[in-house]
Amino acid sequence: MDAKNRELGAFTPGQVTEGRYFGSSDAREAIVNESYASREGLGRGDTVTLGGKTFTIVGIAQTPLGGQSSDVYVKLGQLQELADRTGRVNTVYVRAESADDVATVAAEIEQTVDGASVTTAEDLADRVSGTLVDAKNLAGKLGTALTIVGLLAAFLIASLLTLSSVTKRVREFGTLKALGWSQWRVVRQVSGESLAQGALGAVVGIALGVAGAALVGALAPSLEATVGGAVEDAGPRFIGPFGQGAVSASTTDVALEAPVGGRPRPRRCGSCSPGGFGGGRGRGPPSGTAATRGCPPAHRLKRGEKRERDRSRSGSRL
Amino acid sequence: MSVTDPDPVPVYELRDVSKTYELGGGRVHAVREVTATIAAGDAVAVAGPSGSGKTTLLQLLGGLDRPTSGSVLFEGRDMSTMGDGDLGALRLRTFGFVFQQFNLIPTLTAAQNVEVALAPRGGRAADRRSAVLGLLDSVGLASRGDHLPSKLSGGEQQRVAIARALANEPHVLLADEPTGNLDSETGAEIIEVLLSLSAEGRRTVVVVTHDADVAARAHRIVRMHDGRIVPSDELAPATIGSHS
Ligand SMILES: Nc1ncnc2c1ncn2[C@@H]1O[C@H](COP(=O)(O)OP(=O)(O)OP(=O)(O)O)[C@@H](O)[C@H]1O
Ligand SMILES: [Mg+2]
Repeated sequence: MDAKNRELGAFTPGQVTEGRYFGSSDAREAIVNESYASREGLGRGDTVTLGGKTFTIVGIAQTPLGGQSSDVYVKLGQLQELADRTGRVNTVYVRAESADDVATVAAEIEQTVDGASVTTAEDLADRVSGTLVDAKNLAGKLGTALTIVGLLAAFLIASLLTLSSVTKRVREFGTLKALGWSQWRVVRQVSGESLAQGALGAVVGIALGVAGAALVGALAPSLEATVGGAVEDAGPRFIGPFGQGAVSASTTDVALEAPVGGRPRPRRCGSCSPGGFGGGRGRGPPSGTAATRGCPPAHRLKRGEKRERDRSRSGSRL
Repeated sequence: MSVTDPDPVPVYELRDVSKTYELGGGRVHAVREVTATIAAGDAVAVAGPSGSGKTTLLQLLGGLDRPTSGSVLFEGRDMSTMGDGDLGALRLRTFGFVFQQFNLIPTLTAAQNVEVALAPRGGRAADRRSAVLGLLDSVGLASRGDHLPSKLSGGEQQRVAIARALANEPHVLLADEPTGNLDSETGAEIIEVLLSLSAEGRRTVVVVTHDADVAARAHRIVRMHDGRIVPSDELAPATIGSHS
């Protein structure tokens, strides 16, 4: 993790639930993921050993979702040194200035950085439970579907009632005929009743549909979506499959995942962000993370660059 | 039509009336070559075994059906050549029907059931309602107007049906086994109501019945067998009305 760039990364200081964020010293500090800590029985002051070096746990963090969470986080420079991958990162976080620019920025990055895979917050949200935009659509569609189902049911019921009443009322019609009612009057009477019945059915059906939709709305709990610390109320709410992490569909962040060793270079405002180290499962190549912060949407990463040029600027030390 | 008229024009004149139904290739001769007259103010009982054509005959008299051959003249007009509209008008203004099953509309109150017969005539609703009250009163049900048929006994339901049949002050009352669904005591009451109200209004009554007691109250009994009228018309004791 790029401890200098605290607001953009796998987690922010706000997500440290116990202990503290990385200090500015060169001390070997580690912050562990909450679930990892509880799984391994780790607490503040305990140590973890990575690549033969001992790191003291200074904090426990609640890290977000999106396949971005690692078990152990250490300072970028220390990790690069440990893994003998100086100057390399595996993830760069980019924050666009506006949500509208996310797609453009993502496309540009993908074009510029050869082999980079860009994951926008929306993509992350997809991994969670579909985007909230979809959730919103779903809610809308569900409401529409309920309304349609209600109307269909009402129509069906009205039709069946009419049909059954017509067959049941043959004798009644015979009586009316005997009483001198004209065919026209009988038809008018029956269709009038059917219309009234149909109107009633429609009213009941619509009421049921609206009530059903409202019920769905009321029962579906809130999903607060967060990426990179941003919290947004996403309007229609649905339960995500995961407890803590959630992703905002309208976040302005873009996470840039380059192939291992990829070294995108922020042109204007890059800086390293926290990097993850796959503690339990991270047998893969160690990595650092560079991040840009407050970058304008047009922020570009130069294509094909394999080494991070501005290491000093990232200020991350392993 | 005066009772003292020595040769009154008959209300009904049936000439060689036949009615056949086509049934799955076969033919059913429900009524065969019936020739008869019914005088105004007459009270005729139609008797005969099941399937002898009593109901069919009554339907021909009421303009609910047309004969296959022959003609049915009502007050001199041939009903077999009348259009649906004319027959409907006759049923509305001139004929009153009473059925074995009462045939009240179950979702309507007693008063509304009577009003159904008045509805096609239009007019003010208030007038209709007071007419309905008078009719229910005449059959002894003035206080039951708000009751649904299901809340009334069979005899009471048939009284409502009689009130409905008489609503348009018909010249002719046609009743198909009106006591068939009632115990004999209630049946006797119903026949009493039916015949006395008809006599008051100088109505012609045709009652289909299996009940000898009911038949005995009529002026005349017509017996049917296999679609034909059995010749020996007997004159029943005239206990109701002044006709003879
Ligand atoms: N709509 C019809 N279609 C076919 N056949 C019919 C129809 N109506 C009556 N019939 C037949 O005509 C014959 C006379 O029937 P009708 O109902 O007039 O007899 P009924 O004397 O009234 O008998 P019941 O005493 O049982 O009422 C019967 O054989 C009957 O099956
Ligand atoms: Mg019959």
